[in-house]
Amino acid sequence: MRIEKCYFCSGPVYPGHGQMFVRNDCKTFRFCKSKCLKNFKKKRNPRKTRWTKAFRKASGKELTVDNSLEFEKRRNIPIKYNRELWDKTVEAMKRVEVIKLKRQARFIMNRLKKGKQLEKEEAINEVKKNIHLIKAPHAGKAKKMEDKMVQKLQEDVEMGDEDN
Amino acid sequence: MIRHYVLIIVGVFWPIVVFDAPYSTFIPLDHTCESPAGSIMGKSKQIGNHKSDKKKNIAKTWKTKRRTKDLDQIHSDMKPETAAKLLHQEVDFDVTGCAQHYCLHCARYFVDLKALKEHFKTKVHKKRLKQLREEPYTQAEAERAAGMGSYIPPKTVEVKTQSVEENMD
Repeated sequence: MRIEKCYFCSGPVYPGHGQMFVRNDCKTFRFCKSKCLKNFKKKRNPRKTRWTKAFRKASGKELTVDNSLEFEKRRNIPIKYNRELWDKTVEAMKRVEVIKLKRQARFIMNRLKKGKQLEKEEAINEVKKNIHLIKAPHAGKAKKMEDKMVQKLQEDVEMGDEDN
Repeated sequence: MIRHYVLIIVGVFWPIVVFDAPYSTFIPLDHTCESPAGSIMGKSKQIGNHKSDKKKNIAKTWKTKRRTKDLDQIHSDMKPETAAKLLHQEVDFDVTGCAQHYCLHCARYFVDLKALKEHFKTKVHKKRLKQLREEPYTQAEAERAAGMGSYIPPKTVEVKTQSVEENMD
């Protein structure tokens, strides 16, 4: 027995659940819920439907290329029951799952960093553009005026010296 | 034509007994992080709700009874042998235009050559060509997206409107 994957959203389809659509060329499509079947009937493209796994992978929202994703595969070769192998496999599955979750979480955190950086840049930009709202138009000009006056006075004094 | 689709509502899937055989022994993992960029949101096809009678009952067009060919079916139709067969069909009086003027990419029959040529200029046809330029979606891709294997970006396929010159003779 096998847990199939939904054609549309890639969710699990457990035995006794979901629906199967058989096209008139005998190709079968499994769906996990009626939402997926309805969307399929409307000929929507799973790659372009926001909420599907296919979209999330295609647009780089999730970890896409990683060795931890290579363990779970559809294997059509039956293997004779072997207790040792079974135990080992179950252990390996647990370990792989832990590593996979960790990497996925790290990927998402790295992805979010970009947004924070952009947000900061945007904030700086906004302040630069609207600086006149914060800073008074004559702020810092008083000192300049004073300097200018002092300079002029000095010049006048010098001029007076030359005259005499 | 495409008629009579069978919809089987499966309560129980269990006659399929194949062992999902074990994971291979554990191999230490090295880290790779790659994110394919670029995505386009699907836009709603519906523009306005007047003029066209076809849009009056959308639910009807979604019925499996009226189901038209899927994109992957058209991709298999586009293979040279099948394409040749579809473009040179025998005279069938039950089909529009006696099945002589067929648009391969839109899977539609037209009354005459003029109508077919007009169709090539339309938005519907051009849109369809654009959709066909991407490799069709498969169950394998769905499984890869679910974590069974790494993501493989879809390939682009070159699609051009069929030539009608030979039909003119």
